[in-house]
Amino acid sequence: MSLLIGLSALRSSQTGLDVISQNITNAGTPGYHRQSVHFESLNEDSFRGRRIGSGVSVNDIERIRYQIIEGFLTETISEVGNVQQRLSVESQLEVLFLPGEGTLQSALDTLFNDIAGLGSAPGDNTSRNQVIQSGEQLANRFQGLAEQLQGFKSSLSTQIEDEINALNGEIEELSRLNQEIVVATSTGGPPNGLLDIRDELINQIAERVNVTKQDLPDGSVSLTFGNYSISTTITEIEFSLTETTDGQASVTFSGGQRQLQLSSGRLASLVESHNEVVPHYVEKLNELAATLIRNFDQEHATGVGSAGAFSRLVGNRAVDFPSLPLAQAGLAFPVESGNLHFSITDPSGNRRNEFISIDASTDSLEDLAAQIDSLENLNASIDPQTNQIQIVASSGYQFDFSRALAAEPELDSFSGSSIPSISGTYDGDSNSQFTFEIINDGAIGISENLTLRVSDANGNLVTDINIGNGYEAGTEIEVADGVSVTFPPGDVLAGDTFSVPLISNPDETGLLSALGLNSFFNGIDASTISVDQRISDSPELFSTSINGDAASSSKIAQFDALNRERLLSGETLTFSEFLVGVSTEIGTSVQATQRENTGLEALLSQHQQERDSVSGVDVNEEFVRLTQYQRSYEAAVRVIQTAESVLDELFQIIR
Amino acid sequence: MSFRVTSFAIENQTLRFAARHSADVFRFQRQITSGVRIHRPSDDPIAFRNISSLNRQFNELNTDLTTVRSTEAVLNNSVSQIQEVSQLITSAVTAVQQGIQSNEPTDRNALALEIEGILNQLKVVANTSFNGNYLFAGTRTDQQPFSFDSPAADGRPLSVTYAGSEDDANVLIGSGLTVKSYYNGNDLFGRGDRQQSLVIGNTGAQPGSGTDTLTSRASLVVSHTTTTYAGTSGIVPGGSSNESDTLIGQHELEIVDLSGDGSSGTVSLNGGQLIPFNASQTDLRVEGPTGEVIFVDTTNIAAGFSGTVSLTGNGTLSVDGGISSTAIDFSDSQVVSDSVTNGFITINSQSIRRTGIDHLEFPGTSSAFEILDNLSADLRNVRSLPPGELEDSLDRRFGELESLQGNLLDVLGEQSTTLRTLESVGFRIESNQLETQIFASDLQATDISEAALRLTNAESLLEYTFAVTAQITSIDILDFLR
Repeated sequence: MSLLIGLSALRSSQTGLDVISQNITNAGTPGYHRQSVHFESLNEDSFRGRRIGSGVSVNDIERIRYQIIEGFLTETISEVGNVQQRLSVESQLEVLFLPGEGTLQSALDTLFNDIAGLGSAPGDNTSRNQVIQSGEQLANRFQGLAEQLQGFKSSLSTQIEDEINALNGEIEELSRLNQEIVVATSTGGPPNGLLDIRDELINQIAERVNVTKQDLPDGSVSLTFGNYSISTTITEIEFSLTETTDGQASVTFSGGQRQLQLSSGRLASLVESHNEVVPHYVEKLNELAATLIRNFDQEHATGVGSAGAFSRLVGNRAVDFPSLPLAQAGLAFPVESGNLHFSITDPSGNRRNEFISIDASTDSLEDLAAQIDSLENLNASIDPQTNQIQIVASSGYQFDFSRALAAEPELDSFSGSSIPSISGTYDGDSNSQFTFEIINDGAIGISENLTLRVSDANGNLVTDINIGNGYEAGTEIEVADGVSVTFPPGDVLAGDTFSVPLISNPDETGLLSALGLNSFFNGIDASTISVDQRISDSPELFSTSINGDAASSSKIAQFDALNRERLLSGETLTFSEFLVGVSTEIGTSVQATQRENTGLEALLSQHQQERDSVSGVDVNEEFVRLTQYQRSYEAAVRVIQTAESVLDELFQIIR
Repeated sequence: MSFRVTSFAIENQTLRFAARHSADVFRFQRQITSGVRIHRPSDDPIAFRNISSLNRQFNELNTDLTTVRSTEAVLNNSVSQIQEVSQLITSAVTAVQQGIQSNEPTDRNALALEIEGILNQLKVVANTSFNGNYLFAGTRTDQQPFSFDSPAADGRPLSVTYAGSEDDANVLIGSGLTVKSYYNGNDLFGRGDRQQSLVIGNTGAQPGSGTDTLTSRASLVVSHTTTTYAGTSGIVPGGSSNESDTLIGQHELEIVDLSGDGSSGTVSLNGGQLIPFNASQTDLRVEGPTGEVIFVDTTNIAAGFSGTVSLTGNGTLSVDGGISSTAIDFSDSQVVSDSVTNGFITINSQSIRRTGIDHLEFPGTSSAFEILDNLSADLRNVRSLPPGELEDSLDRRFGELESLQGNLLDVLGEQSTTLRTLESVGFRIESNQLETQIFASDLQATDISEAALRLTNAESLLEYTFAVTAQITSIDILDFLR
């Protein structure tokens, strides 16, 4: 009897030693839960009216775990996975928008600084070339950044696919484990090792996607991914990446029929980055590029370079539908109703101004071309291949869209022999008109009391000017707002009038930039922007003035004003401020995500500590137990040796 | 329940905090070695925004400073050229003073040569270019502003053509401040304010009441066309009358028939010398007391006529050397136009009494070149003026040179003021740049002492982390088990 009891003790201690050895050797194994041996006393046998125990046996090898904390831990792992992935994406975006030499920010500032620098020498071709090169650098930076963002989005797609493939593999592995666990559970004790592997696998899955598990009685678990629950003993689960035509990615299952709702894990962050974060910054970049292109081109279109006015211009932006109203013709930039003014210079250098009225809701590009064509000395046509407009001046004539004043006023109600001429540059804030009326008959520069009365568009008196004795015929008289009038020798008649349209904004419609006429840039957004080839080839075409004089820099001030104008974000930010704002937005986001990550890592660490405080292996503790089982083993051996000795003594009697 | 601490937990904690302290060490080491605290927007987004704004401001100031410096260079060159012009004009003033004092034609010829030399130098200066841009062409700096034609043989003045712009070139030097850089040459070397025109001569023509448009100087040619005689005296214009009479306007001819039948007698023009005539004279020359001349036909003098006959000389006026002419209407403001330049002068022709060439001057309308050219001509007395009028003319040239000098000094003063402004703006920009750099540096640069302190702290924490971990892990039950 004692031998059997000793044997049971020997075996139990051996099992205890084995479990402790397992614990010690797996002390550093991730996901390992320490195990504890539970002994029980064997049933008592009746011997000579007394009941004596029959030894000891191993009741259970318990896998020690803290289930609630482990649930929190899985959730936190998922959140950390999500935040760290987001941090990675944002950090990469931060690098893309990082300011410094050779960046978009630097190129933008350089362009406007070079234009400002051109102010002291507008006719200098070296300085003009520098502006063109700065424009090309800026376009390259825009394109480069747009490509990088597009490439980044593609890499996110690849990452999503990799994550999904890994997830599918892990679910398959989980399914296999589950089946083994079910079998093992039904045939013996709980397979602690398999359970550890499965829990570790679930935490790996949680890094990818938000998941909760529910333990089932048969030892298996069911998993819930957002709106989708699966029993992991079924292996036909497969997630896939689905991308819509507008570039939106989603994780789907059931053959792409159903979309997985993602709330945390790396996949949620990747999909959000792919669908929202990167497109948000692409949109910002395009908003900046489009606003810059449109406003810069509009300013450029209404000026001329040192080469002067044009004999031919071809728009570099096309419409989709030449016969549809301009508002619906597919133009990249909006067109409004209003007047478009042309300044036409004859072979002798005399300017005359013409305008056409556009109703964007009814007039098509074809109507526009017909209107321009009806102007004397101008021809307009639409290239049927490209749907781009072309304007050509008659031989010897030139045209532009500057606000230079026409030399000859409108003389319909003027019959004197002294034909007045207009000069100067109108510097008023809005389009207007001066009407001039002759008071009294007389000879210019000779007659007494010969007066020129000037009224504005509202009929208000601007000024009265002496054009009789005391005025030297043929000399300029400054009227107002930069406008001057000159009368040659001759006679004028009382009551005669003439008028001068005063153009502040030659293009009220925005057509010039929308159609790309005399544009500096080509393209419509960050990925298509470039400096127009015509300007690249001939820097003297870069608009610096409204009259083409080499040192006239009237446009430079307007470009400077454009650089300072708040045109973005609801007219609150300049171009540079907007770009810095984007960098700052990303930086703030990165900083917030870093803080979130730090907090979550602390929480994760706390959960891990709490878990390990229960499930972790303390080697010292195990050594104590090892010693305990070693002593038990030695004691059992002593029991057996004693029993054997007793038996030997007994057998000695028999011999 | 007591909290179990496992060696695994200790290791994890060690790794976690060692990583954090290492990251801190790396961050502070980077800050100290680079000298820059903010490498990415996320390092300090608000500071980053301010730094970006300051950097942009610094670059804009840099551009403004470059513009200021290049404009200063242009204006300094311009000032230097105008100072040279001023010196030339001073030399011309000295020459004209000497001319006024001298009565010797040879001396005046020598002075004229000196003036011509000054004029040639002035022509060169007016067309000076700096860095490929003409200094005095206004906004058309790519075009030579002045071109000159030599005086024509008919004595017309020097022709000066200005091809520059009437607009000064303005340069934006930042903050909405603009200054003139390239000046309109016409304003600088061109005419001043027109004053009353002068008619110098003895035809009797006077300036009219209108505002003339001819400039510099011109000649008024008063020519005779016909002479008409009032009454029934029988006297008629002689054969040479139209071509050779020098009378214009109302005059008197006294006829005395000494024969009683008109066959002989005497005639006297304007109370002048008695000229005998007879019935055979068809082209009798009669000269008045001031040299006026008529030719008369005395073949049909009325018998017994003795008395005074009113006669009227008709003629024309021309200011373009006879290319075009205007009939004299004896009004107070008769317009006479130059068909070449389209300029005109209003003449009071009421008092014109004889033919001849009057010299016209239009004070205040001559360019610097014309003043010098006219001065040279006057020193040579090209118009053959009598000494008194010549001195008056030289006095007027003196006045014009003084006025030109005043204009030059005004421009010099304006440019000097602009240069002072530019200098001041330049200093302000440099000062702003410095302040901007300081602000940016305050935000961006590493506070070395603080970073060093933090680095030391992080290093210490890292050391403590490793030390305490080593200490804990060195305590092992195995050491006590035998």
